[in-house]
Amino acid sequence: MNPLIAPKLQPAQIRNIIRQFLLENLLLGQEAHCVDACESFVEARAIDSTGFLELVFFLQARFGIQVDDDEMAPQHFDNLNRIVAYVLAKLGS
Amino acid sequence: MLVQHSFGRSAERLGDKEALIAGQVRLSYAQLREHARSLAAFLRVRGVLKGDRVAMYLNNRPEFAAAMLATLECGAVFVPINPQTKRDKLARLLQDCEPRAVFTEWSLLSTLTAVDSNLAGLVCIVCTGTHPSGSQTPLELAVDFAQARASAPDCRPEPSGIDADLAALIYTSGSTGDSKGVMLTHLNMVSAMRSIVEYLRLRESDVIFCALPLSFDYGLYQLLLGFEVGATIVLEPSFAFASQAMDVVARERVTVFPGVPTMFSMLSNLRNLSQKDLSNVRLATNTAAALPERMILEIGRMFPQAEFYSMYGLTECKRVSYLPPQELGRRPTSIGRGMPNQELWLVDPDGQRLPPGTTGELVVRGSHVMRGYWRRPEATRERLRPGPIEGERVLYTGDIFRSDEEGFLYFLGRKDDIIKCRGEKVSPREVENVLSTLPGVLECAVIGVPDALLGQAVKALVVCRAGCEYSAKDVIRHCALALEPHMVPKHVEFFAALPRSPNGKVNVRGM
Repeated sequence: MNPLIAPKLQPAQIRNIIRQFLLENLLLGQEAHCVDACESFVEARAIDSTGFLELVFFLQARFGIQVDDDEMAPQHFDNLNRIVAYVLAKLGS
Repeated sequence: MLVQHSFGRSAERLGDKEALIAGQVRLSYAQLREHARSLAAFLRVRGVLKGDRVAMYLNNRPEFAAAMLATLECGAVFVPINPQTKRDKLARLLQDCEPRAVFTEWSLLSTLTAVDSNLAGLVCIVCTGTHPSGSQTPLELAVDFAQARASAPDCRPEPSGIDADLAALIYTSGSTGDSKGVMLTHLNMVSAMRSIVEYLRLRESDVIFCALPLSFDYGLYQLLLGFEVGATIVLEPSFAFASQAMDVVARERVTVFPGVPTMFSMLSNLRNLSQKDLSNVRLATNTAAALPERMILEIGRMFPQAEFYSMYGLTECKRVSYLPPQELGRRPTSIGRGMPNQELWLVDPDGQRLPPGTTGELVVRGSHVMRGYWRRPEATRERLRPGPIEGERVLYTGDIFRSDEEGFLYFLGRKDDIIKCRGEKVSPREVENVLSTLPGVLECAVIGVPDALLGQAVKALVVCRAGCEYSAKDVIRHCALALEPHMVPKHVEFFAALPRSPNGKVNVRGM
């Protein structure tokens, strides 16, 4: 996927792409309901440490953004809304 | 001397000192003792007796420590259970240990209540965390931690235990696919604690970081070791956000950093680590899986002031050996020669002792060696065999080592096919059992493959029935329903047939 096309994506599309990735790769099985319902992936233990790394690698590759170490924090990654908001902010900046 | 006595003595001496720091929560030794006492009173009033099992199905929270100490004060046996354990396995574990009480979280209660096994002996479930606001009807037996602590004081005399009594049952994966409960007496645990404190030279001024799960004995012992010396333990819910976790290490002036290879590997990926003040870290430790030599050098750069201890152990005796830091340059891949108050040696397949400079199975002798596997006499007989003194039992670890001329040990592999993913044991059989419940799977095998982050990743080799087609995702999703995350295959490969040895057995070595 060419990251250069990412800025053209609408917020709803970005949300769908991330949601799909989470469902297909990280929130498998019993955690699937968590994608929309969970306030905290960490507290629900729905995604573990290596899962968050996978998510970051995916976002960087798919949207052409650079996730800084300090940004790798629950306020950006702990639920779907936060991830979407973070990606939108990175693409807008 | 019982396990909880070390905490009691530290609380006597250092009441106002911080025992636990967890996010915004800071508990002094006196406060933690008060939490534990009130919970113990509640448990006793509810009928928890000496020898009863009490499960801790909890994340890394301060309540874990209070619940563990309360259980021990009742003379009961605490059973840590990984909070990522799924329903069916949880049912098997609870059926096996028959807990009288369970400590858990409101958010995990639905998994617990879905367990449709007969938990007849259960008298209470004590829950922490946010109370669910939805329509879910909690079990009649469920009470909140605060409610439990506020209940009437107990006037009954405390049970008098001895160090031959069981303190904990810790479940570990075995090659047969079933989890086995490792029975640890107070003497086993206190012996291990004392040996570790001695060689790591832990002290009261230490601040110990613990992002390792408390359901994992390496994490659990950070609490116990900290309590033994009167140190402060900084508890983190996970290491998922490594940069932020390292901010906590810097802010709380952590002096002891216990890690596993996956954590060190995550740290090596951080670009901003050198900007954090880690100068207070005087000790970094690794166990659970071997570190590549390159990573050991990197750890030296991450924690420039710290001594690094490469260690080895297994739940059945907690710890076996450590490499003195001054030996690291000469033999970086060795795990040392053994810890204090313990004897070890290698044996050949006939059980004959081998001299230094040879290869064989490691045998461990000492008062830290488990009492056996809970209700599994056969598995116990396989691991614990007669030792040099009449009636004594020593631990056959199932791990194969090479020793050099000076007796330093080098891990070569296991006698069985257990996989180590993120430092935790994965039984291929347990994963295969879950794979086999997929209707279209004709045949399957599970192996470990090298993985830079995980140490070993789980790989499933699958043969589908004619007319059935699964994608790798289908297989992974099915496994994720039943298995803890570290056991779920990362790779799936489909075959028309699995290779077999001439005698017809599946032979997947080297695939």
